[in-house]
Amino acid sequence: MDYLKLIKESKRIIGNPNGYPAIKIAVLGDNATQQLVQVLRAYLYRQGVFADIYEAEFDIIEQEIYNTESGLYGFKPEYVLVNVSVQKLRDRYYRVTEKDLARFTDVYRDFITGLWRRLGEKLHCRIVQNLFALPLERPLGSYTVKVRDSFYSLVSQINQQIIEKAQDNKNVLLNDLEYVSSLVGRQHWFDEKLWVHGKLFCRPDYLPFIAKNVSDIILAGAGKSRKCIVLDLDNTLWGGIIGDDGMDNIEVGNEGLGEAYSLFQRYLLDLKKQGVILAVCSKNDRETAMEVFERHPGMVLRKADIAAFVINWEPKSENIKQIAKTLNIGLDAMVFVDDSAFERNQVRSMLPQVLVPEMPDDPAEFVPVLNQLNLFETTSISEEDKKRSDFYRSESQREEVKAQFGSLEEYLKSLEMEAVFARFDQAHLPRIVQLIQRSNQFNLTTKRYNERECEDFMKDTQQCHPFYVTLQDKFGDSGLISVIILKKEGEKILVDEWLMSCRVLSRGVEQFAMNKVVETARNLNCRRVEGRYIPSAKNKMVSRFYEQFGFKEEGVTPEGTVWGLDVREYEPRQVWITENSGQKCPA
Amino acid sequence: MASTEIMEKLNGVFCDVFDDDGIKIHAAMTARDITEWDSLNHINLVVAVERAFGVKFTTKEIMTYENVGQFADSLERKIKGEGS
Repeated sequence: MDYLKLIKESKRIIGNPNGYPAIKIAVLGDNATQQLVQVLRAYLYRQGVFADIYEAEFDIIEQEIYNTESGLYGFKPEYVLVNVSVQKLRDRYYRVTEKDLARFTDVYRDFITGLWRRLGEKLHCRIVQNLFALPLERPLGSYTVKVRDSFYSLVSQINQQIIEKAQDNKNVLLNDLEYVSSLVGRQHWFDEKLWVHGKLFCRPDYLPFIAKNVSDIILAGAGKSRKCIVLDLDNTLWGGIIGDDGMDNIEVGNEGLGEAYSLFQRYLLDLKKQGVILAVCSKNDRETAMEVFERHPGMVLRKADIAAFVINWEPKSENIKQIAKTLNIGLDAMVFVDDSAFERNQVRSMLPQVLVPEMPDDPAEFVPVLNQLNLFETTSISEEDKKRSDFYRSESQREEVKAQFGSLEEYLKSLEMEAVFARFDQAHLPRIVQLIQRSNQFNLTTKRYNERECEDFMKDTQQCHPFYVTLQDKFGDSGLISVIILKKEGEKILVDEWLMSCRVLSRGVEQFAMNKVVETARNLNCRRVEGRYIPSAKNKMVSRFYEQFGFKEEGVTPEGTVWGLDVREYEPRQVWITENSGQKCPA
Repeated sequence: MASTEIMEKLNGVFCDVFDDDGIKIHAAMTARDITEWDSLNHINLVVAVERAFGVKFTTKEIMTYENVGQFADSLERKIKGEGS
């Protein structure tokens, strides 16, 4: 039983023996949360995260949140897990008077949103709020749902109201226990004797499911989400082998087994629409395979949906590395799907960072299996996510164009690049925060500021000069691709954070931005620009970033390596990017 | 007195729950004999035994067991009476 295993593991991670990065989480519940805390701690540790957990006493959510002297505020968590139980809600329902019944849903919604508001005012944290498991009780059978004020109907309405309120509040993430409980089956989920005896809101056997749900949310918040799914073709996207069976005999479309493959493709297309990048890696003759995307009537995915095709006879691990390079994303952001156990193991052994799920034999099971792994949890979807595949597609075109030009300079000129360098504004804030959360490689100090902190920078016009950069060229709009946060300290400009999306590397964006940074310093009458480099597991590529601009290394401090520049000595770098005013570029 | 077979299987569950392979259960054993046997582990024990034997205890049972013997006897009655 995985539950007991996790309980045992949790007892062995006192003091973070493996030295994993820590995340501070507060758990507040109106039920017994000790087991949940243990399981969550162990589950996160398996994912390489040390959960430093503050567990409030039993059933004092409001005291913790409304009393600023409480342990919660002393602890300063990054995440607050609010875990309310349907059993306590049921107590409220049974106690409510006839006249208050009509307001039951509104009152409860206001109670919850009141907690969020207060937390938002007092802490820089994200809130992980659960939804309720729907109760087992339905006194009038199916008719119960038609009774507006039956407990069942009210729980359902409250869930809906919490969802709507959370949709408007970026700091609130939902731990969807309605989904989890129905997934395992509510008759198994609930155990009334454990509620009566120990105030357990579900059978503890199922806590690992909740832990996964919460852990996925927290890891996504830490920027550890997968971004790209690499797909095999034969017997993965369609039934049969195109090279052997030919266009007329492969199975995909509305008939027979073909429908299972079509459904899988629809699921993938939906993932693409939510910002996941699709790529193809197949051992095939390129032309024969491409023809299926162009001509087969049963195909759901078309050429334009795939950001990169690598179709040849090379080992798949090499090809996946190639895809990662072309798309400028880390291997740890990739998922590889292939029906062949040989290929899966080859990739697993060569590229352990790539997630390779075991695939079932039955194509009708592809979607349920991938879905249960929950590979693409996220904390937000920006407009840029939805267009992301398009960026990458034009990126692939750029790569092709690059080959035709003799020099990089000629090539860059031909791109007709235009950029905006502008102060943070409300419209760009979601994308800014997302980039801050996700950028790993080109990230000088890896400070994961949240939305509220960015907003504070935006409003502080005296000390803070937070900028974003957007880029477009003749092939398309790359959107917002860089964030630079400057702070004025006397006569010095401190570069608090500088990060950039790797997909615009080697185009002169850094040079363009540094010209702007120095210009900003001059305009503010600052003679010195000071940069910092804080090493992380992934940002080695920028360890000497400042050197190329004439910065001098001045020593290592607890805040990282310090690099200093006298602005009088700076010569603007040559770039092939035209500066654009902020308004023209779409968000 | 519960059968040896049940006692052996139950012993395995105890070892698992209390994370101690050295535990040897006997009829007169109580929560006082195992340091780790607190209210949290009591629930873990109930859940693990229910799962291992495919049975369900009642609220009263889990609140009133005084020793391993009572636990095992009621387990045996459930297995015989209700099947698994």
